[in-house]
Amino acid sequence: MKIAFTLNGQETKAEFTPGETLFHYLRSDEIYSVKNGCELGECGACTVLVDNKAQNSCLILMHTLEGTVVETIENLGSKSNLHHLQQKFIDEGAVQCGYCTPGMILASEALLRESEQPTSEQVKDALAGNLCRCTGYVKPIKAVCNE
Amino acid sequence: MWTSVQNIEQPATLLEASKLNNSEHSTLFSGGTYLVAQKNKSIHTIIDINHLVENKIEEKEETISIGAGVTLQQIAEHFAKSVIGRCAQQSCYSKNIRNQRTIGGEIAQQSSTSDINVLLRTINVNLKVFVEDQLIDVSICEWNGKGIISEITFAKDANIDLKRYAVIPSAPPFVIVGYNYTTKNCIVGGRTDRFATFVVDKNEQVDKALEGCFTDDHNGSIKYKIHVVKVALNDFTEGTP
Repeated sequence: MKIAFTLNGQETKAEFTPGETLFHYLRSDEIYSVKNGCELGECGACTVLVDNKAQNSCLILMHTLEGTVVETIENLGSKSNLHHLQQKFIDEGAVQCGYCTPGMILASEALLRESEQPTSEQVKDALAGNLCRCTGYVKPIKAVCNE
Repeated sequence: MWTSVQNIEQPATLLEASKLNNSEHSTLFSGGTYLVAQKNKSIHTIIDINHLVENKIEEKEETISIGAGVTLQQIAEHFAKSVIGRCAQQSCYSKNIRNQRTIGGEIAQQSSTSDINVLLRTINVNLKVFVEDQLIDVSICEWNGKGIISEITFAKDANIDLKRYAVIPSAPPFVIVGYNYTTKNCIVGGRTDRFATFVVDKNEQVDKALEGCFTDDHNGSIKYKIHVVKVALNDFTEGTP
């Protein structure tokens, strides 16, 4: 099967097998910021933005993406030019092992695109689908609230 | 990767979709969050109906209609200040998933741990369902699970409330009690083998209606869960709606 969509700002023509998920496609395209956690939609490690909404890429079948705009964290910042949320996470010490961090930042970015000054309740709700087992949630929430 | 899927159909009409969905190896596909997570190996054909169902919420003078393709997050935002929005949000703790999961799919899955399913049954919303070659109207409590849901409608002034009991707020609730102040109808869901439906009158009826509904588990005994339902009903009936 084939579709055309925008991936990290690039017009992309993707070829895939019928049951392929976006998560598998991205990993095979060497976009490794999209992490493999549970593949059940439970952990949010594979979060991406689809048309500005945070979604779990492990639950998205490729054929549903025709004409959409998909973003991973590579589209937000780079090592030499960090996105302001990435910098804020570092400043607040909201990163330890970093496995959940791309997903957390993308979920936060989606929220900030909806609402410039979200309440802490909105931040907690936006991050509820992103599990972290080392840093916890206090510092990521603080990083987004102080953004 | 859902390896058993060999074919994806994107029919032009609901009639075509209905005809294609004729085998145990095919499934209708809307938001897909349940289906892709389960990756049922017996499914070979996906019939994608996303483009065939409405994804708009319409409020008219006396009624509200919700297209089956509306996501739980759209409902949570549209009805942010009412019990409907709260239930849509609590049905799935993850906003990522709510952005994808559709109300039509949520109803079709008939999950009793879904707050919004219990709430819609408490209202007893009307479903427009495409069965074979016609669009029929049926109440959610009478729907047999067959066909393709295209729209959900209900009266604006539905006077209802819902209580949920879970170990932590983000966990699936083990007891959900919905109460309709107008009809005095009660719907019980949670970790149950079915949705229990009864009219609230006396406590003896509650015991009878919930017979075989719960099991003893780590959340508590059957007796405890029935007690929780009675406490919720007491709160509903003693309090002012």
